[in-house]
Amino acid sequence: MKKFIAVCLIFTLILGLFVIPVDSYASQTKETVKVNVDGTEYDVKVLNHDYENNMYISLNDMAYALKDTKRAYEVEWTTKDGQTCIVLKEGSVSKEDQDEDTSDKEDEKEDDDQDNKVNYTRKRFLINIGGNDYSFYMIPVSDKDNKDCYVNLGEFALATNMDVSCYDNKVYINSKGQFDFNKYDLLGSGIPYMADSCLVGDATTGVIYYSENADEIVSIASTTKLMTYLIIREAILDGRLSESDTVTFSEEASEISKSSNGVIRVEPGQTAYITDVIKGMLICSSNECSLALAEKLCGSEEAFVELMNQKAVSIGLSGDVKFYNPHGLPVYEDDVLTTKKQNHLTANDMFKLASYILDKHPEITDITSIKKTKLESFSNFEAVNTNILLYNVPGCVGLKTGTTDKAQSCLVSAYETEDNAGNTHYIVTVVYGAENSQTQSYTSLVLMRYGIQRFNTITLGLVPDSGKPQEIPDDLEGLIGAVVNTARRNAK
Amino acid sequence: MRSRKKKRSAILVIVLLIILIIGMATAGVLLCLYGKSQMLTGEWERKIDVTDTVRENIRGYIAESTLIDEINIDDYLGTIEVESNLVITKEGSMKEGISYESYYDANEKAYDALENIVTYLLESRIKSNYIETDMTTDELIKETVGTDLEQYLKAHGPVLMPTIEELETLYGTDASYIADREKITISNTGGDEENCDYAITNGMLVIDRKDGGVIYHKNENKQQEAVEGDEDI
Repeated sequence: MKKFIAVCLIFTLILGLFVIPVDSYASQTKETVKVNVDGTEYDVKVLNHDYENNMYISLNDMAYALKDTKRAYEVEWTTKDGQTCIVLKEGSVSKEDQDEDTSDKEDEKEDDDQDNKVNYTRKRFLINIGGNDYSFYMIPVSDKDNKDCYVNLGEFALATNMDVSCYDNKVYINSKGQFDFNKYDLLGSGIPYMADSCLVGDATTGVIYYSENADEIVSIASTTKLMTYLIIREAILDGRLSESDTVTFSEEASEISKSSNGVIRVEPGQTAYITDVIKGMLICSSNECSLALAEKLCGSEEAFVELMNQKAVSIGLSGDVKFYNPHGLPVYEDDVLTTKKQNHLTANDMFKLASYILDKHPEITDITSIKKTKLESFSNFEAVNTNILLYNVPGCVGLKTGTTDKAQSCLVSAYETEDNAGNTHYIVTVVYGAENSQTQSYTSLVLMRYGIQRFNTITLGLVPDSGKPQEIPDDLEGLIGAVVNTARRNAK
Repeated sequence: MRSRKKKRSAILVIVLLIILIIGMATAGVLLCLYGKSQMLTGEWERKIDVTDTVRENIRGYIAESTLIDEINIDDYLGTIEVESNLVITKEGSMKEGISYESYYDANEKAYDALENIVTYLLESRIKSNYIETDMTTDELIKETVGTDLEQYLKAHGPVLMPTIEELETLYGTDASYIADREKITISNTGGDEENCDYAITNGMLVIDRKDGGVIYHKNENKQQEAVEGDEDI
């Protein structure tokens, strides 16, 4: 009997390995679409990942389609910091693509008709476009003849800032144009519905460019840590804490670090510099660091949580805000009928909180903009930022991701820019309840780019002209700022 | 009688041979001594590399406005050199000075490099702000500061090159000299003296000065005759 049970368990385990999805291993449907580039049509291979119209296009085929335009590029595979990186070298075209015979594409189409279901692994790696590194989920495909990679059409269009549109089952590219959100009805496109609630606005002026379900109460997971940072930062500034302090990890913090929610493994009684603990909390979302900071300031988690809720009221957040802990993990009430509680607020509340922090403590972006760093206090633990927008939107300076089963994938991000008068503005996006990290980063990317375009073309018009003659800047930073403002005033 | 005549002829031949040998030897010695130092006279030139100074001045100017590793300055810079001319006269004077024309060319090249770097930074910042405009970068700069970028950088930007005065102090010479086959003694107007080895091979003059070996090339555009010692370079 025991042997029979053992065999069943082993069989189930083996079966599970083939069934359980690993790293977005899902099916794709192969097809070939017509891509019209400046009036000339090309056949481009496409993989529809998971569902129809979730289009991932062949980089090699797009290179061929763009070969006679100023957007021409060559695909180069390389590595960067030990990970695969694809470089789109602008201005050159692969000789292989130049020699490509269209009759081959006819054969491929026939193959597609015969067998168009495939199972490739979609994974996140770097793609360098125009000198900037982007981190996208892509689908690499290689066979003995060819190495190719498929990238989401929307992300490709945004990263290359190319005028791309789809209708009548065709893709249209105007190689001389730029990506223009004015052509898109965000709501009609369904972008906002990729998350439970979302918002984009100018955190400096409070102007909201777009929001969807922004009054809905949502679980906020690790975006909680923005409030934790605010409390700690104010304690440092008013002397209750010092930047030279060390933090001691309690037994509870150590337990968290050793659990599935742990990020940096610590032992009870272990100490670390407070600056490293704050970095650990904000950059790699360390839950044990959050708890340790709370206990450092208030002696107990409960006392710190009380400060969090008081602060929420004092800065004008709604009555829908409730914090139970400083890190955002689910909390189980100690009762017979136990309940699972999570910190919650609305997207509007988080926009206000982010605006408050960026106004009073903009130095937070010094930490949240770091992509990767070593934390000396933790034996040079490499803290890697979980915010992919730091890669995908050059100029993004933070702020915080969050993930729990209930909250799903969340991201609060900020982009730093300037108005005509040289004042700093932060475009902030809030995305809660995206079904996975790819959807979270994609939705945030679209909203952020939408917000930037709105700021450039509309918000700047609200800034009055001072009437004073412009001074000649005498340093490079001044020159750059002044020329960028001139460009904005003369934007298309 | 005949034997005496023969003896006199033999002695004459020997004396003539001795005179000839001595004469040739003397000529050879004089040629080695005097001829070698004659080859010294004329105009020589060398290139002074100021690339490091220009690079550091550019780096200091752009430091606050660039991300680490955003720009490799050497991709824009190349080698910046200034020409120095050395005139050695047969009367025993040496004068070396900086070529104004080459200094001007080097300065232009340095500012060209800076202009290209700043243009790249401006275009990069405009692009990262997702701003699209019909104006070119040159037009944007002109509208912003009223002049083109080159004029702006020369008026408000950094000094890139060492000054001519600094170069003259480091590399200039105003001295008298005495030279033999291998050694040259240079007496500077300040009063101090340098005893240096020198060599001339394949149109190159190498003087082993106290600060290190200095290599000059013959200025083929000038005559190899000596020029007046007090003529301005």
